Amino acid sequence: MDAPGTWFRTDAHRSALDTERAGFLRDGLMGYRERRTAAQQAWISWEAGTRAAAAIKWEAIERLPELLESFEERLLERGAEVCWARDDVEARAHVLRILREENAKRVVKSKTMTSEEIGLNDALEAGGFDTLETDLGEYIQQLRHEPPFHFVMPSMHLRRDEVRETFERGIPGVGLLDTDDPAELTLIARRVLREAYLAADVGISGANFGVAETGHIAITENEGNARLVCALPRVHVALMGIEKVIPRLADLAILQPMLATAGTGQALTCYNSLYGGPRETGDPDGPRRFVVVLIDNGRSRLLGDPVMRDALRCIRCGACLNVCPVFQVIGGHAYGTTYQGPIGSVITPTFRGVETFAHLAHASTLCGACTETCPVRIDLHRHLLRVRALAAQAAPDPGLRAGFRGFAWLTRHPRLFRAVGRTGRFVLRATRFLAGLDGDPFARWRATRTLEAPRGPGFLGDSRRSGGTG
Amino acid sequence: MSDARASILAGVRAALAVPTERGVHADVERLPPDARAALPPVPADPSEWPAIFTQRMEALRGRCYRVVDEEEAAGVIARMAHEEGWNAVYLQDEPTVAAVSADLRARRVSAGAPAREMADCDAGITTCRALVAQTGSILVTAADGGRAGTVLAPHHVVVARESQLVPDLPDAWQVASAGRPVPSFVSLVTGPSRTADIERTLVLGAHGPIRLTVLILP
Repeated sequence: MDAPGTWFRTDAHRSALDTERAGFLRDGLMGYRERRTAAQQAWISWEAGTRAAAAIKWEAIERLPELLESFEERLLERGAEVCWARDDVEARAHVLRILREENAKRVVKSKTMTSEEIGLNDALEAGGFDTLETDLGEYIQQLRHEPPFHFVMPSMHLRRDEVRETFERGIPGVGLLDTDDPAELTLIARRVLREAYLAADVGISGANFGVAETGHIAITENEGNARLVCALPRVHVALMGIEKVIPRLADLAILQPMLATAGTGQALTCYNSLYGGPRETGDPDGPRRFVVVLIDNGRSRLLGDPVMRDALRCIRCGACLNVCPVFQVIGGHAYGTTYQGPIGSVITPTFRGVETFAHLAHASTLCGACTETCPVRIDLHRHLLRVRALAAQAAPDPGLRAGFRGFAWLTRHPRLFRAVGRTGRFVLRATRFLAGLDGDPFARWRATRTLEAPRGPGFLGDSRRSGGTG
Repeated sequence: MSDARASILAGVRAALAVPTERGVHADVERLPPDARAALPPVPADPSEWPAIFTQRMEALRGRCYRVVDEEEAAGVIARMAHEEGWNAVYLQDEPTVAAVSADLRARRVSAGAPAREMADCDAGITTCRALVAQTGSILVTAADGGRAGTVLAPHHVVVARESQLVPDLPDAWQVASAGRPVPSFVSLVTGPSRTADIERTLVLGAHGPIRLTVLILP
């Protein structure tokens, strides 16, 4: 197994044993589910909404070249610049070039997972730029030098006292705090970041959608930090994956409430903002330079997959993480990816190499909770199987293949099959007393599970008796 | 740079040339989507919209007042200024805003002032483009005090007209796109700024306004 696979095993195992953290995480996700259910019930038809949203995003994918061209044309008309980046290297180079052209020193960022994907923060740090994340969760994670735990709720794994300690250690001059009240802690971050917006030369944002019809990027947020990042610095750089483009402004009427309901259980998030170009004549404020960086970085490769291409419909609501039994146990950091959970396990192998990341697709029970909850109807658990199949094709495992061939042969020989079954059951029963002792042949299995000894005559015996054909 | 553009577009076109496997997402129709058949219901009778707007907005901890004229609006504003001790207030350059803030004794900061001066304001008073009953949202654009005027001060006060009420989100976006080209900045504001990033505890005023007040004039 490649390195990420090995790390995954170790980290997932460690997380699974941290039962206190797992309980905290479970409570958090339970709260999400209650809010989500309530918000969803307010819709006339959530089902119709998911069909509409999926149809819009599917149309966008099928018309992608045309929509990207129109999006670019509208932006240029609005006085914006558009850069194209095939991969993370090109994307980082664009951003660094703009910062140098502007002689910028201070950068504020609003939440952008695309930036995590292209490793922008490390590049900015190496380039000597003073960079601050402004979304509260992202800010906490930045102070901890830790990647986001969840791509919608970056610091959901932390207790309030851990946030307090993070602030005490990470924010200069804050000293020792006598409170870990979330409102007080938020206020501290607000004060620090207020100064940062006012002093920043460049604001870097992501984009939830790109409207091809009008040349706007749409940003969905609750805190108002993105609004300040996009309003105050003299330059605004927006990072956007090419799959974020949508045909019409009117499409936002369904996509934004859907993102809010599925993502956080809100009817609508606090700010749903559109930005199209720099300050216009007559505008009292706004940046003088506005650049959109369109990033492929594996997306067109995913588009070329005749089955998994619908994963490009994803609006990054994070609902599939919140309902995933695997995510609940192992948490977000074990994945070692920008996008955690089921959607991450589907897209990361295509984005970053199926040989290196296929292990993620195996970390699934294939229960289908992700597919059921997805607001844009991505067939997630089917795609997890597809990733497994692609990995098997890319790197065949002769042992596994021989094993399955042998099993197939065995099933065609009923007498022998029964004999092997009988032997197996006998061995299991006979070794039961070894559980927990040295020399237990099933020790690894039994370490995390109860291995029941089989009872009764087995499936073949049963089906015979009930008149089946065996 | 243009290399990347050509190569990405060519890559996308080549990818799309691969036919989708049969049976994959067969449930996604190609019909023009009808948002209204899905979104939360709103009564057709416009006389019900103000009450629905008020109820939704107050559920998000915003405040909403229906006032009979500008004088009453000015009174509400003067009371808030007194209670909260406004020292400085950001005022959009607009007749209604001027009328409702005429008697304020706070220092006035107007559009185009340095951001730091705006950031020191205790409140900001602006207009809006529309009020959305369905979600209790306020539609603002760059014309309502700029990109920062509606988010920088801790208390955002919006003066609106009853005729600006629209039932739902599809109508809100229609209002936004009515004046082509669509402004460089548009935002649907739904309640005061909020976060739940620490233990999912709701905290208002994360980075934007802690208080949000709408005054609806006839």
